[in-house]
Amino acid sequence: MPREDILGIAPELWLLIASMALLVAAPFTRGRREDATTWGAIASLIVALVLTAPQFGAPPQRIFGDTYALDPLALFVKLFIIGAALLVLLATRDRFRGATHAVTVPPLILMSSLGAMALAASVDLVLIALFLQVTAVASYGLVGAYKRDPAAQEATLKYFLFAGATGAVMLYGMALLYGLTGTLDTAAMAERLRGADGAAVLVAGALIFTGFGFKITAVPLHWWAPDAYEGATAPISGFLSVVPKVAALTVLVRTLFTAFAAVPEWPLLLALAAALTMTLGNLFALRQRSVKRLLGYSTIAQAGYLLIAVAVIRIDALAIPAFVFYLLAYLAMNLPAFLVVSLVERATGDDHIERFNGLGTTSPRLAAAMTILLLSLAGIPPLAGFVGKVALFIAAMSGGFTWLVVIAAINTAISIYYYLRVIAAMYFERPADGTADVLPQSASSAIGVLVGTAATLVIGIFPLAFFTFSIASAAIAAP
Amino acid sequence: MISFAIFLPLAAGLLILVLPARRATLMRGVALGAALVTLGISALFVADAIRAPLAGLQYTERLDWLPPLGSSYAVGVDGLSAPLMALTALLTTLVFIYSWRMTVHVRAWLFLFLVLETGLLGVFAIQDLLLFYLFFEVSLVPMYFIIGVWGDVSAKQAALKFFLYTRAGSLAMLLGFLGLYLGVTPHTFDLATIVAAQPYAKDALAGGLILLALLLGFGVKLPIVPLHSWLPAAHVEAPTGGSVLLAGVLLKLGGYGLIRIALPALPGAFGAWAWPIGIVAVVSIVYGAAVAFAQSDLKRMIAFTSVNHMGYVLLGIVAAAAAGIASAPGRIGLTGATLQMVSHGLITGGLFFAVGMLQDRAGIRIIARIAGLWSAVPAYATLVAILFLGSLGLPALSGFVSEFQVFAGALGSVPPLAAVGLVGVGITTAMFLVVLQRMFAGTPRLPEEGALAAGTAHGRNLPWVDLGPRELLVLVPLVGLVILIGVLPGPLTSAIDGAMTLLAGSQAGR
Repeated sequence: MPREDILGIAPELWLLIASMALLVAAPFTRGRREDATTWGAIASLIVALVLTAPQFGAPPQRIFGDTYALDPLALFVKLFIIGAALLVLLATRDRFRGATHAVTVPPLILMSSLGAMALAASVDLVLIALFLQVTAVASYGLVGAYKRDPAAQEATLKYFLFAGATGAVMLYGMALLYGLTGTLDTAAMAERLRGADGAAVLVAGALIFTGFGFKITAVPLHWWAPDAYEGATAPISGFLSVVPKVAALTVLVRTLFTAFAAVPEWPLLLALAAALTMTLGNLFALRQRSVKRLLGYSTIAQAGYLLIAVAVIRIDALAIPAFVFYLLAYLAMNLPAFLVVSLVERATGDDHIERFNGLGTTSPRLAAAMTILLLSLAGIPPLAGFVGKVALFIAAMSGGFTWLVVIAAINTAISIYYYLRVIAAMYFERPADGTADVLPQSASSAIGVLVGTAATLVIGIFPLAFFTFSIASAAIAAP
Repeated sequence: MISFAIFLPLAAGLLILVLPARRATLMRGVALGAALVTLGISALFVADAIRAPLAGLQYTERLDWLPPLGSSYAVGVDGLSAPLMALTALLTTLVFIYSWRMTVHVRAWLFLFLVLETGLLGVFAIQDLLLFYLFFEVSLVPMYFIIGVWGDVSAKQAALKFFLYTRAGSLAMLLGFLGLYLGVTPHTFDLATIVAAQPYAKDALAGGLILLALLLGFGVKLPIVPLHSWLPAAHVEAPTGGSVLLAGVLLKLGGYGLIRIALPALPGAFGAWAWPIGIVAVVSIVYGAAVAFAQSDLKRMIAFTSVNHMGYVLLGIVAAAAAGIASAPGRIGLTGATLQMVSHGLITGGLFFAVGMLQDRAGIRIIARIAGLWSAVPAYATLVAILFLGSLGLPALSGFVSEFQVFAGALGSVPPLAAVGLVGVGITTAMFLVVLQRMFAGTPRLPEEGALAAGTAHGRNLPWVDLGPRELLVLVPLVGLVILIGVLPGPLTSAIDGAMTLLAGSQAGR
């Protein structure tokens, strides 16, 4: 095994070691030192960030016998996940204070992040299956982190059962693909799939997509998500809506771009999945009373928008840059929105939309941030989500999917309704009597909200640097 | 210079956010100061356009915004945009003067109006479709909050309706813009490049669909029947300042977009569909007038006259679409349409202020329950009567000049539509005369006790106090401009006509 290969996975290796060490150390940090695992996890992530440094500007390559990609796209996802994990750790720190399992949350976040980072870089079917499970196993623990909350337990069970089922279906699809091609290497597969039986290839592809689609929350594999997001604590919901989803989307992009490059049907199938996912996500979000659940459906819709770009990655050169740019925007606007819910949830006991009444008066800064985040999710300029949507729309339209863009535009028009419900509650309703500012002095979640809101504004108003970065990150290692 | 004018209000708004809460007067001063400076600069733009009507875009600036997507921050003013920018700055300034004593959430109120002003000025100056869209939508959010927070009893629904309608329309418009963008190679959002390339001159189907998308977007804003149903709710529920900017400027975004973008970029498709669109315009004219006549609430009545007046704008544009921008009826129709937007902004902006002043005094605005304004509050009655007469199109007032030009253009280009449109003029004339007679003549009639109590929001208990200095400062400039344009239409008309001449010349591909 060459030394360069080991260096290439240094961030992942380091996170593996760190998460194991923290997991072992966790029981000894209960009580007054319960913040120790959080700070340990944050420090580990920063070290991991430093370890990714040699990968900047390096040419795309595949290591470990062509099973693992070291390319700009993988690097982007690593940075993305490290950033997301940092924001979530700051929020879980004060969110889980005093809870029995507070100390084990940070190592689980590290482990799930590690799995997601590796998943996004995997180009071998076995590795993909393996890291999908690593991500999932850690996530089960996170969803159920509040052991005494029955909703969290129900959410965990649903998540676990559905993940197991879709994972098994995916493995079957992978087996089928191996049978058809005799290889596990997704790149080598492309050539051999050219002559294969078209129906069998489609079936295999559909079965594999079941596994990915579960993580992406693509309709009809989405229905676990609202329950899990509602049952889990808000920062964990935010984590689930960003990290595993983005890793799965990236591995989908990778697989479609390489293995299924020669299968002509998939752009249309993906476009249909995109249309279904955004439409159902938006329609179900309209009437939700729980804001976590509302945002849960919103993230399903957002996954639908992202699938638009995935549908045209082989057709239009702008598709992968648009995909990457939208991911940036998505991280900036979506995760912090969950962190706002977390603050309200902790202060008032739940995340009902009435709890947001009058937030504009009682917590003006938090309400302003939430307004910006929600408007960005709705695609209102001059915010990050707007430029992201325009880039997606352009990619799909010039890729010949005008009908999909029309559906996406209609969806965008619908979606403003439920985002405005939260905004209207914050500004047009009176606060309940005796409501105080939900933003106490020490809330480290507020850092995530602040960073996210600032990023949403900056990316939206000055998108050029971020777009250039997205273009640079769009390179995928080919054999 | 333009960028300074566009972003000064925003900068002032951000400054206001960080001022301490007890310095409310300082906040008002900052807002008013920024609005006045912006007004001065935009008056300069108008003066320049009058001095050199054929100079084309002035004070142009260009910065890269998003070159990978072919979008840049390019601004400039000409005879089409300068009067509308000045209108925006003027009405914003007057709103700040009118609401000087407003005490509810002052900081947010000023901030939102300043953001709104930046958005609106940006729309009128920008020469790039993507950023046009951006500024277009930026104006949406502040108005949503202005209606929802400071509005009347059912303001929440009105604000939501306003947002949903406009958003749906503008997304259609965005699709239209993307269509234009992809029709030019290399892809660009630069308006001048798109107009020169005439992307869909040979593709009637695609051109028609894109035009439809643009019409949906601009039509909701204008508004045209049947896309107008957000308008009465929003105008009536909005606080006075909100109604003034809504009617005075936001509606103009629709007409401006049609003249600046839709017509020059898609003259073929617009020409082919001129008659159906013209019928929509005429329906809006007649329907708006008839429904306005049926209203018992003065504010609602004025809101509906906007549907009627914006119908004239669309009719003027249709005249140009049918006969060609370069033709004599086309140019006169377009000039009339633009002047109508300015005139309507002044008159209706003034009328919404007037309704606000009436409500401050009487607590109601039901036409049938108010009488004798002339003897009770002579200064108010005189100024408002002039605005009414301007709105019905009396000669020597601005409304006459613009409506005359619109109909002159329409008669030369689409005569039957012009004939039907005149019915609308007849209805509004009758309506305003009836209202004048009911509310202004006769002996003063006081509203009931209960209504009076509701009307003391501004600290007045006597309903029939004539205009104070601050109120005069609001109404007199508007009435003065209405008279000035009516008596001396030449300079402004020639500035606008110059812009239209250049518009006609910009389609190099034709």
